[in-house]
Amino acid sequence: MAWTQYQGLMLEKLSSLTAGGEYEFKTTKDIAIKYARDPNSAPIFNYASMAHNNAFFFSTITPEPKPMSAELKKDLEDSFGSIETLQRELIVTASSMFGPGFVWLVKSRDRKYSILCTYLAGSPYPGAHYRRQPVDMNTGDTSVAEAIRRTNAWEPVNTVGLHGAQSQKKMAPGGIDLNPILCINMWEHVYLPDYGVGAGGVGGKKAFAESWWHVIDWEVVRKNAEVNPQKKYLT
Amino acid sequence: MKSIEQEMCWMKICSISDDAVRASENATSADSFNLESSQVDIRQHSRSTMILRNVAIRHGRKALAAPTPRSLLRTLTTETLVEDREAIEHSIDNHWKETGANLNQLYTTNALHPTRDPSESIKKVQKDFILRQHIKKRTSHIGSNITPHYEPHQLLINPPRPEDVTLELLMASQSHLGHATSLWNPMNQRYIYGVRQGVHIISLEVTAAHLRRAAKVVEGVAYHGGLILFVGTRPGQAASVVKAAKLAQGCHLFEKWIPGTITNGDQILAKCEVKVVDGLDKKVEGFEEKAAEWKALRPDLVVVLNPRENYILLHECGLNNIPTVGVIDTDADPTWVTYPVPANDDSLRCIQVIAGVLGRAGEAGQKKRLEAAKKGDITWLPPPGLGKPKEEEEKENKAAGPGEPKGKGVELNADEVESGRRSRPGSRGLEEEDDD
Repeated sequence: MAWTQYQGLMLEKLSSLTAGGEYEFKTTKDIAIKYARDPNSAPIFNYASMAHNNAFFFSTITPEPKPMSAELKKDLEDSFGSIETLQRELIVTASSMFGPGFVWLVKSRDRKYSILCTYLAGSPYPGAHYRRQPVDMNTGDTSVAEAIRRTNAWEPVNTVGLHGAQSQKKMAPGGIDLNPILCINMWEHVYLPDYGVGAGGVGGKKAFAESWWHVIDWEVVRKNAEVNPQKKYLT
Repeated sequence: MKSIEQEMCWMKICSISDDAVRASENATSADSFNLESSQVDIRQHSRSTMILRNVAIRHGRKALAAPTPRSLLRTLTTETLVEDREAIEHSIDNHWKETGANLNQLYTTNALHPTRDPSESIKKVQKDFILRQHIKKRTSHIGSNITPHYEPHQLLINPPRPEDVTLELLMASQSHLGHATSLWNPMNQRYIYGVRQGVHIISLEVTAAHLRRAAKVVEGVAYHGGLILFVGTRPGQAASVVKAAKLAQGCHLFEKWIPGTITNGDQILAKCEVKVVDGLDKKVEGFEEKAAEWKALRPDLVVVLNPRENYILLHECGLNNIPTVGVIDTDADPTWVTYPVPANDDSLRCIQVIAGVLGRAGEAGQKKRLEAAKKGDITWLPPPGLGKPKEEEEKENKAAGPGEPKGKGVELNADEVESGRRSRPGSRGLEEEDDD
């Protein structure tokens, strides 16, 4: 149902919203990045982002998974210590997210991997960072004032000048520093029919996440993460 | 008083600059000026020092960069004040630091190192670009399948192939729209489907069939090593003509055809170079003299996108037995071209489709020709009279002996198929707009 009905629903709504406009024939990723900063077009962003994330999730799973390739295994072990650690982190993050969302495995530059979670229809792409939605606002530290929490959560503003503390950032806002390579869809309609809500400790999110680990298509993940330097570009 | 002070300033600056030049020549540091100078109390000369500083800043570049001519120096004192000089330099340094001006602009500061290594930043940019392209390739299509739709630039970047020609595409490109019925040429009646809103409608099947035939002709000519000229002189047709010529490895023309380019080619194309290539399109050495004297080349096929405005070109082609392909509208004369393609020549989209299709056909023909050549099967003949490269002919003459007549004429040796009667557009200087 998550694929056939939900994806169809997202695309139907997205098509009806973008019909006749400039973004009628653009890809879901382009639409999401375009409308990330526009609160008036929040529905368009939501549908586009959900369609994209959902399709991404289904592209990374396969009924007949093959074992992880050696290069990918080495890279992940360098970042996480061991593959078991990565598995544990992903599953724990996924089960502890209260509410719908996605958990992503992202690759930054120079073979650094990390886990990112996006609530609801949040997007991991740096171009849509305004709607990354990485935190559940209700679980913040209420001992600190909300203004301070907000300041700490968002990226620094005082990045102008050459010598400021925050101004050594090497990238413009929206610059590519994250490459999402794997994700798990933790919306209820994905796991509910097969795993139930998890009442009584049976089934639920944790069981779904655990069995998801065994159907990950590591070949697709490797291709997503791989960056082949083409000789004709490099001098 | 003021004028004397100003004179003094000027003298002092000039002498400082001369010292600076000498010092830099001797490669000593700025701090170690070991000139004999009397220690003068700065306070007494504070006003002049102030003036010196400001003048140096304002005219710093000129003052420091241009050493005084030798003749003038004889009239000046060479006495310099260490404190003044150092004060000026410090203040200039501060000035540059404060304003962040680029020191590299000064001619004397050529010993400065650049702020970052340019080669490293280039590599970083390349890496970032590759990463971006990779992410785009892996993730941008995910989410939905976009229905095929019209994107104007795609007709030029990625033109349709002859196999992609459908009646729907031709109709969407407005190829069926002819001219007003009163303006028609009755010779075109076999291509017309009917009348609508006072305008003749060209039959789509006829357009498709003739376009496919023209594509086959273009492909065949390209396969056999022919030179194809694409002509489109109306405004807006330049891009499609250039693209088609690029794909078919032929020549393009998007400005006025100079009458006589074929019939009087040796005059008009005198500046165009001719070179001899082998079966794999590689230049062959040893034909320089012959190539320099060779007659001006003629196209083997001419594709005209607006024949109504290019009568002279088509007439010249007819005189010289050069086959032509042309887009014939309902008011054009179909007998002007060998292979008419009945379509709307006023619609740029239609022209882009037709030029794109013919360009793709040429590309396919070239590809097949080169593949056959790699296997050793050359699909064309060298022109008569080309002979062999200079060294080989000399060898043959020596081997044949002094008394025997020199070998001439076409020597077709399958092993060393060297000569080509076709030259590449680039070598002929064919980037000029007004020539082929």
